[in-house]
Amino acid sequence: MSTLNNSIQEARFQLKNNRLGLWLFFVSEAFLFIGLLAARFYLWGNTRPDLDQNLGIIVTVILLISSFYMNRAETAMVHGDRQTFLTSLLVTAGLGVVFLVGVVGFEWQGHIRPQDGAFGAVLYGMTGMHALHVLSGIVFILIVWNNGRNGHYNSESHWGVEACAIYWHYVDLVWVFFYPAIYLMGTVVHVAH
Amino acid sequence: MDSSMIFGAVIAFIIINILGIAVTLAVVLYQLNVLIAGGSLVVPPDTGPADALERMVWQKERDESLANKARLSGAYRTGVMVLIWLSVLTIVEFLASSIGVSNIAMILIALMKAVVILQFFMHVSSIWLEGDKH
Repeated sequence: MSTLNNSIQEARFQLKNNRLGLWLFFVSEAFLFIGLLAARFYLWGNTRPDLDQNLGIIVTVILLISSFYMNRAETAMVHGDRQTFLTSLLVTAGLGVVFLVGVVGFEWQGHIRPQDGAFGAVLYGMTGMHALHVLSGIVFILIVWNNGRNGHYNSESHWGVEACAIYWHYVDLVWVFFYPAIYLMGTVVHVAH
Repeated sequence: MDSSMIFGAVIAFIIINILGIAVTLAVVLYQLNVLIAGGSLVVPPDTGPADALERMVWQKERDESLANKARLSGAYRTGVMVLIWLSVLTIVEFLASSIGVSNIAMILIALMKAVVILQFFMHVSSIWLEGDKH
């Protein structure tokens, strides 16, 4: 009986440490993103490039909805609803792909190029670094989906799902600050080539 | 009609639109929630065993199953409410930018969105908890 109690205690301690480790990783990542935001405010000041506002709000809403589906997937796993878990994960990954297509396939094909001075450098630096995290998040989701399909998680033990969900929400959290900084703040400046 | 009246009418129009969009979104998402999650709680017909002891066990299992469904449905609804809040804040942010609100106000709106995500999606308050308390 005491061996069982020890095992339970150990598992709980491990979970607590896992969560702490993940959040420490987020803190270290925050320095990177805060650095990019600082570069934006230092180099752009109270101006911003002339970007497609419709595209900006569309990709933002897509990322918000993907976060909602990720939350649904995690909730489903906590309550043992495997089918909703798997479906919601796939929807999340799909919306992540749509977000990537919006940023890389449309925004990056606009009139601003990376070599267009501070505007190009900061725009591509911020969206590129964020897109890289979205891409890694999609890979993470697909791995968790595959594990879930093979029955690796249950309502009692699903750290992988929790970590994946929190990572995806973190990517969304970063965009919550990047979106206004890139698309909404400051007066519009037409970038000359 | 002077400019202040036009400005007032425009502001009223924007507020009514935001409220309209929020209510429509809430209704649509709620219906979607019921559709996807099977959120509606339908009490199964009473077809339990006749034996008293077996019936007690059967009723206990049925009650537990219903309670679990109710918890799941409640958790899904929280997710929907969070999405609605984030959508409304995003729309407010977008409109605020178009009428030239200061950068500080924009950062405050972003911070509000961040707090909602941190608390409801990332469960920041449960980092120090042991076990699954999400």
